[in-house]
This record gives sequence, structure tokens and C-alpha cells, in this order.
Amino acid sequence: MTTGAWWGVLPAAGVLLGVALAAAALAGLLDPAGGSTLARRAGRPVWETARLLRQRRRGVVAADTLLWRLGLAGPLVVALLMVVVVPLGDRVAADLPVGVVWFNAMDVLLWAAVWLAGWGSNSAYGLVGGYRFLAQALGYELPLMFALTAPAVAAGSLRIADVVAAQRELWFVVWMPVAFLVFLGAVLAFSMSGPFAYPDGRDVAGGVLTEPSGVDRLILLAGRYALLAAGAATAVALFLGGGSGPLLPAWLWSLVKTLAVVAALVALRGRVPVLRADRVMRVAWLGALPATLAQVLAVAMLAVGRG
Amino acid sequence: MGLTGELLARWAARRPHLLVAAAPGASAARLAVEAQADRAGWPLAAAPADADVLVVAGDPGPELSAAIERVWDQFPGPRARVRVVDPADVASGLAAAVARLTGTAGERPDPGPDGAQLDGGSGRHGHGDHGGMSMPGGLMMAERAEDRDGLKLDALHLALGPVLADWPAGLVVELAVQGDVVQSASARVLPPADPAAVRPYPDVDHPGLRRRRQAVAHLDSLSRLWAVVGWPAGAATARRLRDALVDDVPLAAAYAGFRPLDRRARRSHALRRATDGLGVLSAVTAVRAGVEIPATACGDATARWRRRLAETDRLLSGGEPDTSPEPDAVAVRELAAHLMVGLDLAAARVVLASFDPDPDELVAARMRS
Repeated sequence: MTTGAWWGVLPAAGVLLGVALAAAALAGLLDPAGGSTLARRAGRPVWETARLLRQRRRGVVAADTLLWRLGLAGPLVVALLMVVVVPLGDRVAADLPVGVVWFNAMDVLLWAAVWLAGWGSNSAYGLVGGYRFLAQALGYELPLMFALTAPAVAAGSLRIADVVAAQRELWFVVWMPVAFLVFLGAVLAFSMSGPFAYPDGRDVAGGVLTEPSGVDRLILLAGRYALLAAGAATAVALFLGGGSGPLLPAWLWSLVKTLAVVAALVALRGRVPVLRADRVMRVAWLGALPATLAQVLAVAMLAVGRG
Repeated sequence: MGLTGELLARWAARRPHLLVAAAPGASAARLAVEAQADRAGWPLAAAPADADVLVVAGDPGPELSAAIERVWDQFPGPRARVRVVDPADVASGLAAAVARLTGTAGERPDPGPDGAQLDGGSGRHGHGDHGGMSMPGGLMMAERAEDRDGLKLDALHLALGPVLADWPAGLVVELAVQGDVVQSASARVLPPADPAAVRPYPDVDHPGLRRRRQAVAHLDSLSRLWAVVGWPAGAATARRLRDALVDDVPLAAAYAGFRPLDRRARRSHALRRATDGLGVLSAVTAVRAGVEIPATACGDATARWRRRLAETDRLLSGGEPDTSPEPDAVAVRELAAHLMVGLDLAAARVVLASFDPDPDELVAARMRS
């Protein structure tokens, strides 16, 4: 594994935004209500970006503008910080010895960011959206932590590069499928999409998306797709063997797998109704949490047995 | 405008977002607007911050007009507005509005409200007339009140509607919420300019058209409910079917399209989990609320959307249009508001959408009495 100079962060950011763009284009393509021709649908991120760049930013009476804007930029920044520790093939921007914990810590930053994006706008619907994210986070965070624990235990290291290396013989998705599925669910949850599009629900006029317009809105929407991309890239490194694969170079395998995971997540969104906070708690704490705990136990016993 | 500006405007024009503000009695115009938006691939915005074009469907009365003006003031700009009354004018009206938005109509687009940084309202659609201390910005502080657990919590007055996505035209539900739990709810409809002229959408003499329009109304209600529940795929399919029926496709073709949707909805556990046990209406509840119970509205939200599916199935497979007297619209509205109390905002909206009180019917009922 090679770590580049500080500017190694730039390609990572570029790849992240590229994958996020691809996710947005696919979302447009799959949406039958997006227009009559394929080009028109797939071009959605371009049209939307142009529209939002042209639109004026608006303010709200007595909004806490500083904290609001910090919150709006939060998801995009968090996504960038997440991928910094995720290897693309055999290159990684920052090879932290505690990469798995770093990823989790960044995810927890989102609690503050989305809450501020809702609260800072001084709007009842925004506030409800912020609350909703916290309620949802309470549900998905513990299962996510344990799902992250499983690959770390199996690899005996918190360094993501070590986790990738430990999958040389067998991808972790094969012997920890529950952790993999819970992780993907958590990715949908922290990117506020699909069954977890609750903090930005249409029933509260967009929730955290009620008030921002123009560039503010663009940053938040881009952040959501970037989180989806960052989550998918991490899933590839932790469960799908990272850059391992025949013929193609390692970085290309990482990219292909990441795009495949993103495509699966995007295709799933919108097919499943949104889970309200009370239902999320039931699913997360009575279903996902015991299942991931059992998964970690099984993985730990196997790891000890091997030795 | 520079070259970049022109390019941005051209790209932006591919996907303008519409905010539809409909007056009661203008169902036909609203349906035409939504169908045209779907054909052109233009999304319907959930809030003014997300919208470029304000579409006023029908002829709103003074109070509804004032509310629409407040919403218009919250458009970030560039913005355009258009009013449509006749469904036949919808396509040209919307196209002209989009041309004004991008400046291709030869005039400069409306840049947005002056000093767009302030919008001067407490909620987006609030009718802030509550006593109490005021804050900088002219906003009211929330008052404190006892909550259901005997705690003293801030009570916020929040008005849902009259301009809200997936919401009955002109309906306003005034809520007092603590956290996001509804403590009290009262509903009313802001009438159109000429309430005497309002005829409910399915209320036509020709039986074939009546059958078709009843099915359209059911599918419209279902699409709204599913959008509120957060099932965009189901909502979009129901809306497509609805638009096809308005467009006079043969009933058999509509039925063939309806069957898979019906199956998918009935088989979806996730959908049932989202609506089960919400807004359970029993005879006891109705008596306590002091209203006469319409038999078709019993059970929970799931039972109500299943009944709508069954009724749509019956109509589309050639059944006779429903000639039983309409349930008392005012009673339905009161019950829906009553059942919202004690639920969180999300569940309360599902309950209201499961009843989906028809504002045309409400206005007509008021004129009769």
C-alpha cells in the first residue's frame, strides 16, 4: 500500500465526486418521470446543477446563518474525509492505523451536520427534519458500529489496508453477509435515501431541504450522493476484497466494484417505502442489532479458532 | 447575460421545478398541470425554496390568494408564475412561463423578491397571530403548555397548507405541536373566488364519464397517500394511471395497467407497516368526536387505502359508478383532524392523506348548508 503526498487527497476527492455524479445520473436514468429521452434523464445532474447555480441563495428570518451553512456543507465534507482512508486499488491518501474507527467517527460528525442544517434554518419543517435524522441515527448507529467491527476483528487490525489484505483468500462478504447487508443499510441511512429518506421527507416539505436554495441546496444534495459513494467505496474495501480481481489493475477493480455497489443502492431507492423513526427503531434494535452481534460473535470465534 | 449565463439558463430550462397552488374546484386544471409536468419531465417542488415556477390552478378567493402571495415571496428567483383555469391552456401556459424564467421570451427573468434575504414570516405558510413575546425578526416565541406526559414543553403553532405538496387544494390544518407531536388540530378550506360554481370533480351526468372520474379521484388520492408515506414508485405509477384515464385511454387498457400496481401494493409488507394501526376509526371514536360515521371510512389507514384499491378495481373492470350519497365531507374532515391529535407529524399526515377529504366536496357542502 502506498501513501502519496498530501495532494493525494485531490484524486481521492475527484474519484468521489465522479462516482457521486454517476450515481446521480443513474438515479435520473431510473426515474421514469424524468423526461422522455434517455439523454434527458441521464443528464439530470447537469440540468440540476445549472439550475441551482443560477438560482439565488435565500435567507430566512432570524436564521443562524453560520451554523446553517456549516451544516449544509457538512455531508460533502464528511464524505471527503471518509474516502481519505479508503484505498483505491493499492493507493490510499491517508493510511491511518485506525481507519475503521476514523470512518465511524466521520459518520458520527453527520449527526451534528444534519441537525445544524435543519435547526439553523429556523424553520419548523427544517427542525423536524433535523430531529428525524437524530432519531434515525439512534437506530442505525449501533448496528453500523458492530457491522464495522466484524471485518476489523477478522483482519486483526483497524487499518483498512490490512482488512483488504486479509481478504486475499476469501472476501469477507462470504462469511459475514449479515454485517455486509447491515452496512449497506446504514449507508442508505446516513445518506438519507431510499427507505431512510425521512429527514428530507416530502411529507414535511423536504425537511432539512425545505429552506436552502441555490448553491446551498446544491452542496447538500451533492453531499448526499457523495455519502452514498463514500459508503459504497468503504463497503468494497471492507467486504468485497478491495482491488483484488483478475486481469484489470487494482484501482480499476476498486472503481468497478464501487460503481456496482452504488448502482445497486440507487436502484433500490424509491422501491421501498420510507421507514418512520418508530419503525426504524424496531427494525434496527430488534432485528439488525442482535443479528450483527451474532455475526460478530461468529466471526470472533472463527478468528480465535484460526488463531 | 454572458455566454456562461446563457448556457446555464438553457440547461436549467430542461428541468424547471413547479410549485402548484390549486384552488378548490379546479381539479381538472390541476390534473392537467401535473400530467403536463410529468410528460415534460419537470418535477413538482415540495417547498418554495425548491421551485422556479409558481402555477396557480383555478381562481383562489381572497384568503387563499394572500397565502399564495406569501409563498410567492419566498421563491428564491429567478422565478415565473402562471395561472391556469382551462385545462386546454395548460401546455401553452407552462411553456410560456418557462420561457419567461429563462429569459428566452425576450424579457429579463424576474430576479426574485427584493432583498430576498428576508421573507418576513414565521413559518412558510404560518398565520402567526398568537399573543406572546416577540423576538428580533418579528417572530413569536413558542408558548409553553402541558404535554401528554404532564411535562411543560414549548407549543408551536404550525399551519399545514394551503400550499403544500401532495395536499388537498386549499385545505389548512392548524396544528399546535410539541416537539413534533400534534396536540390539537383544526381543519378548514380556503374557498375559491366563486364557491357557488364549485362542482366536485366526479360529479358529472354522463355515467361513463362519471365512472372514469371516480376512478381518477381514487387514484389521485392513492398517489397522494403513497407520496406522503414515502413510496415514490407507487405514487408515480398511480399518477401515470390517473393521467392516462384523464386522457381517455380505454378502460380495459387502464385496468391492465392497474392490476400490477394493485398486486404490488397489496403484497408490500413495508407499505402495510407504514400505514397499519394509524388513524383507527371506530364507531366509538366517531361518537366521541360528535360526528355521524361514514361507513366507508372505518378501520385504519391501511383499510382505507385497500378499500380505495378495491373500489378502483371495481370501476375499472366496468362496474357501475358509485351512486350512494357521498359521505358527509365535513364529518370526514373533522374526524381526520381529530385522529391526527397525539401522533407525530409524519403519522398525522398519513392519517389525513388516508381520508383525503375532498375540498371541492367541502366547499359544495358549505354552499348547500
